[in-house]
Amino acid sequence: MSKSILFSICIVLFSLMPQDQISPVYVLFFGSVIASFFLMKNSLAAFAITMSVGFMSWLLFCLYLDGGVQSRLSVMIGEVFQSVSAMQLKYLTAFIGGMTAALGASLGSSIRVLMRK
Amino acid sequence: MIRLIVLAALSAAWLYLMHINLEIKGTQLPQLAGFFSPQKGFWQNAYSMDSKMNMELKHPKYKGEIYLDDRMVPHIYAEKTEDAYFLQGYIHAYFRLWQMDFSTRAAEGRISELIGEKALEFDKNKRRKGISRSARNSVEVWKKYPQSYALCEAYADGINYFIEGMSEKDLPIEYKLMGFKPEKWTPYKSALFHKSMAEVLCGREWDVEMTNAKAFFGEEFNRLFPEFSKDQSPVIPKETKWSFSLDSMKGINGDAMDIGFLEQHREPGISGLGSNNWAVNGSKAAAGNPLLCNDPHLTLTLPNIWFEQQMITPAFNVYGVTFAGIPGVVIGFNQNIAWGVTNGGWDVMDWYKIEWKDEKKQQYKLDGEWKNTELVIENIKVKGKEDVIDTVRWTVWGPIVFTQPSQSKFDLAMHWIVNEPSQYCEMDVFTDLNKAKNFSDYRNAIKKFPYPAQNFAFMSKDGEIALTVQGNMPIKNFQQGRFVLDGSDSKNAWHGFIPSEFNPYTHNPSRGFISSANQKSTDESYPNYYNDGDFRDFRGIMVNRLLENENQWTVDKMKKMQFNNYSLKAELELPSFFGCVDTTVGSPAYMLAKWDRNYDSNSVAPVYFDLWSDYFHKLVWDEIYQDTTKKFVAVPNDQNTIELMKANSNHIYFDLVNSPQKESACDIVKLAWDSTLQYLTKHPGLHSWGEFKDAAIPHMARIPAFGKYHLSCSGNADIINAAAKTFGPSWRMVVEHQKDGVNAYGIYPGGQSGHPGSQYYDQMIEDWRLGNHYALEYDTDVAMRQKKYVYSIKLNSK
Repeated sequence: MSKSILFSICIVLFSLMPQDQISPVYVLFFGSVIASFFLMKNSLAAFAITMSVGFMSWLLFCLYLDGGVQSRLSVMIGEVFQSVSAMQLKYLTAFIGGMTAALGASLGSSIRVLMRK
Repeated sequence: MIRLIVLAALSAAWLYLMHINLEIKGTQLPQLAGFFSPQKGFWQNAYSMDSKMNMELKHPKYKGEIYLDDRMVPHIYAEKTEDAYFLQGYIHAYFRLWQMDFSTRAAEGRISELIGEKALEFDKNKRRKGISRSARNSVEVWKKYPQSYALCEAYADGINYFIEGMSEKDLPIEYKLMGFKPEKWTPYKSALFHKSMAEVLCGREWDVEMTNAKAFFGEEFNRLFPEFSKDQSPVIPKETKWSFSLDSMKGINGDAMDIGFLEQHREPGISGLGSNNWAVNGSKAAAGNPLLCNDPHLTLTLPNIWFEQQMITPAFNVYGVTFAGIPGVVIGFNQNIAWGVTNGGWDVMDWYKIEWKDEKKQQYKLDGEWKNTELVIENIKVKGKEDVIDTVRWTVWGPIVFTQPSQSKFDLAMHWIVNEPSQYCEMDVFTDLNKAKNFSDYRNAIKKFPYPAQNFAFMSKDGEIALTVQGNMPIKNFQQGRFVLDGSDSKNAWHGFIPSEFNPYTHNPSRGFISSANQKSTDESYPNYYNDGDFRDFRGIMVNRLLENENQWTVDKMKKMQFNNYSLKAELELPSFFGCVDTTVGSPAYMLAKWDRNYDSNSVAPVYFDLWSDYFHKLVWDEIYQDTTKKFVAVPNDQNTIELMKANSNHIYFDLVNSPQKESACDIVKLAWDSTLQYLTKHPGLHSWGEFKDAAIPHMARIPAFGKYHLSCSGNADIINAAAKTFGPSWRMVVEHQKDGVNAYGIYPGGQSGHPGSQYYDQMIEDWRLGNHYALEYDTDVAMRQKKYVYSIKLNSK
């Protein structure tokens, strides 16, 4: 249980880590691989936890960024993407975060399982 | 193991998908990984907008302060001009970095490397015109003026200081969408910006169209395309006497220009851009104070081309609008003077027919000999594709810009003033104007302005007014450059330039006002020949009529005049039309008979008139409009068409080409009216001019989500309030020099911030649309400003 919590905290940190030079998707993916390798035995559980933690982290992050100063930008960007609403954009962002973390975590725990064999 | 391989493959595919540019319905999307990530994607733009403006910065060389007022207008305080220009560069970059970067790359012909091969022809065109070559040459001349060049460098330093201090997450949204990063700014880029404005303002001419019209209309040509219209009201009053003559030019090679119909295809010229400026002296003002107004008409975009600011140093205190890309205030005022500009409209782009020796097009005939072309290789980078090589042929006249695949024997070479060498650092013009104190300073400042020729209106607090048509004016034979010239004869070259002191100007004219609205600069008496780049008569006549008829001008009256929607074209055309249709009470045309000729956004009458006039013109000139081979033939304008109707309503041109019977002008008026009614029956939802015109202010890169559409605006082209569908008054300014200060107002359709999500991106559009102005907060005291600002940026020396 404690490992799962620690694992979740790691994923939250990788999700929110400020990045400038490296793609945040790479950071989140490889961070999840490493965290999962050391902390998660079950790749399905790793997938489920990271999917939800990654999803929520990025969702809350962009809700915070978009809500702070009454920005109209997300509505405009939604129009750029063929009339996607601002909320749908947030879900899409969250999905990218969740899926990236989940795939990384599944891969990490699978490597761990393989190496233990 | 299999599970691991499958997961690895899935992960690799996912990561790949996140880092490629997908394409949906022809639109290339940015890399999802970077664009959507909250750390550095577009969400950061949503957050950082308008929220980080209070800053304390350090720089080893420059210092000063910027205070931003509630419209985000920066008031820049500095001890030295270099410091002020550094801060101007910084604040331009802060608000408009993408705009200035993109516009200069466009001028350089480098858009393909950003958006792919769809911009290839655009890039080729820019490169063939020699814009970047001209900018490089200008910078070499600027370096000969170290003080001036240092100011250009200070401005560039300010931009680069901002760029170096920004992280990837702070990049303007357009960079993230289009997937590129800002480049280091140099004075070369400022030169590119100047050249691109020159292309907009003096890259218009009708040489091919006029050549073909001359061949098509034959003896009727001069009547249908007069050089001077009888009703014109030129920029410089008609009674002005000239202090020079060009008698020595008489008889030089004036007849070698008739070269027949040219099947030459090229980009069509843009028409309709223009501007107004005027000033009255104290004798015509209610309060006895001089007043100056200016509204330059340009293609409207978001971000707007203008950026408002004030700069205060011990040497000058200037307020006005600037171009993000060049240092100094372009249109504005200081404690002593005010100035404004409109386009002079001279044709300074002439075309020469080049006869090639063979299909290789490497040698052309000049004075009976074959002369080698200079081949310039342009390597154009194309996003996602291999580089494209374009070989540009340069002749003694200039480059070959458009080639006609079906023609192997001739092409047209372009001789353009922009490719003439610079004589000064052009940036000095605005630096000097910004600190000018009187008429003499104004004249000295603007004499360095080479192109595009501008009508520089001037007013001083002492009540002086003046207007100078300033630019390098080529000395030409009669009608030289109105048509395509024979490029095999070197005598067809320009004969130098008029010394700037002989450029047309007027100083304190007896009528008590000066004005310009893109009409002809002078009457026929001016000693040098100059022809029509894009002269327009209607606004000039209207402006002068209004200025003459009023002797109690106030700021409020001036504001209203800038929003005047009266159509002189309607005044001219409708009486001739009404003789041909029923206008009695109850008839459809009765509404037009009652109409006050104002293009108000909520009025429906302008819709009827505009359609009617347009159908009439197209039916009269069906010989040209309905013949696809006549695409590049000039068509007589509305004014001359009505003159023809008044002179001979049974003229052959009123007869429709495709009908068996013979029509008169009245028949055409009736047919045009029927077409108007049919159109409006098919479009029953059109209830107002604003709705019909459906004005728009698109984003510079044509990203629809970042533009403003379906604006209901009064006005139209050829009306003082020249708000047409996509171009119009890009800045409206009214300045009154009072005895104890300056009372000034202004507005432009946009906002100070170039960031689409910002509340300052487009917040002035609604007031602009309604004809409102904002009071311009002209600081004279830093202590006052320190008590009233929204944000501040302080730059200290390290």
